[in-house]
Amino acid sequence: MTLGTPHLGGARGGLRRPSQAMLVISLLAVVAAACGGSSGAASSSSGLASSQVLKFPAFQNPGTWDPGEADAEVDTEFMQNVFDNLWRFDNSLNIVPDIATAVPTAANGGISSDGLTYTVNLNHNATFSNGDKVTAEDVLYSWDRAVALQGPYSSNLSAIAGYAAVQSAAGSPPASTTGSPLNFQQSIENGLWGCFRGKGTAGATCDSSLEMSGLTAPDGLTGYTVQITLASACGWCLAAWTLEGTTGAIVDENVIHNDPVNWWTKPSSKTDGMVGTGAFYLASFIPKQSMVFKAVKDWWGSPKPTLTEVDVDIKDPSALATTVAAWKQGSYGIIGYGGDSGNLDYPTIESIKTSPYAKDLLTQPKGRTTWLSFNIGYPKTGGPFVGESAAAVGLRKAFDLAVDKTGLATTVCHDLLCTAATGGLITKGLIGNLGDGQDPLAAYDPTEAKQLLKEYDPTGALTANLTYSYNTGGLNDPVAEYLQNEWQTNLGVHVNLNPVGDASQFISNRLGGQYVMSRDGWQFDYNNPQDWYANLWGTFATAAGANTSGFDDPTYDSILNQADAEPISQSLPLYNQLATILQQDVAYIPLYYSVGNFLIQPWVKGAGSNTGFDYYWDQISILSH
Amino acid sequence: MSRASSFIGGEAVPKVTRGTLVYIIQRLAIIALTLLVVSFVVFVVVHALPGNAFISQRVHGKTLQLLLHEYGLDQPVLIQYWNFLKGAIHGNLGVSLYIRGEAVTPLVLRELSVSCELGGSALIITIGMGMTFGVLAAIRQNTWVDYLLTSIAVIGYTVPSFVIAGLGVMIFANFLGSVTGGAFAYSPVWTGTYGTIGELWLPALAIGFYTSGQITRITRASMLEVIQQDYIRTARAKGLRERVVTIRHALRNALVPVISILGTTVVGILVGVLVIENIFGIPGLGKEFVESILQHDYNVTVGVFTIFALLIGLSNLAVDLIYTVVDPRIRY
Amino acid sequence: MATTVTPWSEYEGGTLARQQVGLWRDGLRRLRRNRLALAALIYLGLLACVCLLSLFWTPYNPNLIGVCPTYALPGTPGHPLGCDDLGRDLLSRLMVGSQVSLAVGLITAAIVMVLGVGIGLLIGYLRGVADAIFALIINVFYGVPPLMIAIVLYVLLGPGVINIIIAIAAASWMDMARLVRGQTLSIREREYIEAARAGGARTGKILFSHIFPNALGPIIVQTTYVVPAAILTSAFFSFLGFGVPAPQADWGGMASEGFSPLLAGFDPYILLWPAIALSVTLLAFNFFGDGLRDAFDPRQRR
Repeated sequence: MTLGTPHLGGARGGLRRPSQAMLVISLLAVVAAACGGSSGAASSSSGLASSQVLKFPAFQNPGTWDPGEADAEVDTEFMQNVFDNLWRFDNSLNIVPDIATAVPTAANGGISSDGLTYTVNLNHNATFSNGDKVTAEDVLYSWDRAVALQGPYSSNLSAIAGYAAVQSAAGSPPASTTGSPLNFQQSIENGLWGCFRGKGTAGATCDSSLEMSGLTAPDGLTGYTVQITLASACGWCLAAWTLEGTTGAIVDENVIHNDPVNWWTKPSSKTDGMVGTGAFYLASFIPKQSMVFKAVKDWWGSPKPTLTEVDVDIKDPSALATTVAAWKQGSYGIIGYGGDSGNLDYPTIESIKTSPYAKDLLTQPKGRTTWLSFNIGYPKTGGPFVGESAAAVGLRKAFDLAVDKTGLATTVCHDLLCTAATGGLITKGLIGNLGDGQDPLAAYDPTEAKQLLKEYDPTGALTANLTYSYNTGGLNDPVAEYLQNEWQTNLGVHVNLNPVGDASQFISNRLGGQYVMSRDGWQFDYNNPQDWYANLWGTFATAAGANTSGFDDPTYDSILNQADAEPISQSLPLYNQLATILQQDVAYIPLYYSVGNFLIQPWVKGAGSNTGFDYYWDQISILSH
Repeated sequence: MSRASSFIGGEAVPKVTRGTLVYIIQRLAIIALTLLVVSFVVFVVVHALPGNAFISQRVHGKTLQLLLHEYGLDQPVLIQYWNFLKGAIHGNLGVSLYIRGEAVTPLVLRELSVSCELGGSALIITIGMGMTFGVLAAIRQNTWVDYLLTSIAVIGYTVPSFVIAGLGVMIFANFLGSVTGGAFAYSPVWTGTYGTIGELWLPALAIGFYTSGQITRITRASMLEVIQQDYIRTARAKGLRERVVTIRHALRNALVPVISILGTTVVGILVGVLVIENIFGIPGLGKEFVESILQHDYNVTVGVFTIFALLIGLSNLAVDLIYTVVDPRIRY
Repeated sequence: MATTVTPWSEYEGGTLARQQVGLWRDGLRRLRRNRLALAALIYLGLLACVCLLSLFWTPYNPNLIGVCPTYALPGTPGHPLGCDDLGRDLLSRLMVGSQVSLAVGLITAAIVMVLGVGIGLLIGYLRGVADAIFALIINVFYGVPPLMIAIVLYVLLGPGVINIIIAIAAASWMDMARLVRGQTLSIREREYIEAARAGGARTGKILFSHIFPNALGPIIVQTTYVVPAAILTSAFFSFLGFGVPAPQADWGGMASEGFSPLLAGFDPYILLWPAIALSVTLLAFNFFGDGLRDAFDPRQRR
């Protein structure tokens, strides 16, 4: 192709030149306009990507998504997007209405003056993802079922009148011959079917002994009012009933009735599957491989979800490095959701912080505290820490003061994976935390520690042959070695380490009070100090077989009883008194608060986490990128 | 030493002369007995372990007792095994205790297919690589080629497979990645159930490398033996090209000892699968085996173990039958 | 090289002692000439020295965290091999790791030899019902890889080096027993055994003075192979997480810890050192075993 004459005009005349130039210019303009838009997915004016699918990895499998049986954060983080309770925690952990229209208080008449009756109005629009409308009978059914199942969180409902009766009526099943709890759960379902949705259907009978007397529907089962009557005043109940993904969640009897045991493993449908009132439903679940959740069309709640789908790949923790690499390439939007905020290890976080991805790293304290428990109340297990004599308390104090807690957080966690627990055992950010540095047991004073040791164990005979027991894995091993080193250096005492490989065996032994010194910890359930003080020390804990240290004190128990009955504004000072009792008794050595780490792509908007849980999926949207 | 004698009974008992079918039935009966014994022993052992799948900071005491009761775990072990066996005969391996209520059989079958993909690829690599190296080493005996390939073989059957895997990652993922800027590096991300060939080759190579060493040695040794035999010289005298002579005559005879150790090779590959799956996070039976033990997921452990035993039994039987095809002197 | 003449001609109806001496002398001479086996032996000797040394002294406390910055690369002053993810010196841990490997390897081999030889001799000699039972056991467990048997046993027994040894030995004795049984079956048919039996010798004497010494060659060679097999199995154990409990260092466990920094791409050395140590040690045992086998195999001619 020849280049042609150097000028366009010439024999053809001058008229051509401008129009050819115009053609070129307008062509260029069109091309510029087409290319000048945002890259990637075509965008609407709000900057949203056209594909609203969020992908993230999960590093373990669900254990169970049945709200009556669940107890692990890694399960509830998913369930909170599929099931709703009557109320929920907002991002700041305040209780706000969900299926209920308001949070009952004494002021608005939701709570009676004696604190024993709660009246709840339901949102008339609340609907299950399969179209079934929510009415009062669904609340009654869900809570009665949860109590009858006697699962790990059934005690959340323990203050309701009739609780104990239902549990004993549900009893326990004959031994299963198929290895499945089908008989037990089937009998509960059969008993409840005729009381609620199955009322009037052929062959349905109602076993009223499975209904809590304190749970009634004043406007009828198909009405929208629920009345809850307590056996005794309870200041923590509202928080416990709000705990998402557990016994307060509202489930669909139509669905559970057909398959009481495995209903939650199947995709949601009219008569089967993981059906809740949440913004998302289960579209597919391949065990050990993947889960897919999809947004409910025309969801009744708010905010209306922008995401259309959430794809979760189940990965092995050993694949962390490659998963992070995949995240960097954009294959995943978030790492850390689904209860996995503890999975990013130190070298990964370090390398992220020194890379351009540093701004995508979210560090969030998590509501979990780790401490060391002494054997105080089990003489059979032995050890120099048993009892309340001056020597026992003094020795506990010696071992406590010999440990440098801030040093531990720096050496073991690099100040990235945990922070020193200096504000008491209730984690920072939760009600009941005393404030930084307010826990006298968090002090580090090796001189006084040595003095106390010399005073109460001059010959060293009492503290010879001590053992610190812990379950292996994660930070537990380096923490144990750090503690051993501290006691050796600062006290001159050699403490043996007893690493227990099997976590369930360790927990079982520890709860049975079999260890002289053991690693202890607690992850909070709901934002109320009762969650800690009732479950870990005192008579309640002992009765439940969960009192590691065996610490029990009548003053403690009576203050606890009193505090449990009061609303939080009155009960907080009382709970703080309990903290003081534990501190004066040197019942523990505080170690660290957990910290969660998340990697969130800049184009994932609305994702985040608070001390308790990940922000709901209905707040998340994908920006074009 | 004939192949048949490596399976005891081949010489201590009078040879069965009524034919292959009877032999197969005998072997199948032994396999069934093996499965029974293995499943029973494993069942009892895992149930005897302290701890269980349910205990947590919230599940203990009464709640725990109830859960154990619901799943029938508080019954005597023998009764539990009997119930398990009744279901297993119909193909129902029970439910998982970790993913509550999820059926074990489809889960384990799916993972079996993943492991078969991995193991099958490793088998192809092992035989292909092993025999190729062996043949080359025999043809070029005492040259540098021979020494190099023999050394590779020795390294193969001595060094643990995870070392090979680590070396592979070092070279093909990290080194190659830093040199080519990530363009051609191997990426140890296993996507989906089955992975792609690009993800499969390094784990398969790491597994296959171990067993290929033995195959190389044996192929080389038996080829050397045969190359020196008279009938090869005769064939050469007839004017056939040397390469054709080598491959068609020597190889056929070299095949026999290779097949004789095929049984051990399959076992070696299964062990390699066990380890390599755990390294690369491949969702197969090997990873499931370790996980289920740690999670106290009894039925899954028993299921995995039994399937492994079945695989080995069937592959040993297949090898013995192939042997009859290859070496017509062997008859059952 | 000239082949030595074995004193076979001196055998005339039962001079076993002299035949033995001849075989041994001949074998040792051949072994000495096998340079690879000698090099392997030297390495193993050095390893044993390092192992003994590590019982008393290592450059740093191998279990102490924080003696150097985490993931310190080799060449950091004072730490020629670098440090691991908790800041523990890798050289010290490598030295201490040899204790577990050597202990497991050697003790397991010893147990397997005793068990295997004892049972193999008895069964091969007595035959009959015992042999049938043995055959059944072998056939049944033929279908299960020793590694899995060992894992199940170990999980049952609990953590600890001794239990690892028991578990691996229990999974490995069958091969040795089978070998010895085979040897016994063939040796018992020889004339001098019949002569001894006719002469009124007791079973035990026959087994241990006549059969056992003749089978000794292959037994020793097989035992030498059991050592690296046991070390390999225990490395797999630790790698899978069933090994010695923390914080005791051992090569398999170190390799296992080294995989994530390797896959993440920033520190291959935590895996590299124990991998090299394991590989070279296993190679050494295998070469030595090969050397022994070549030396004592009367059919081999150099």
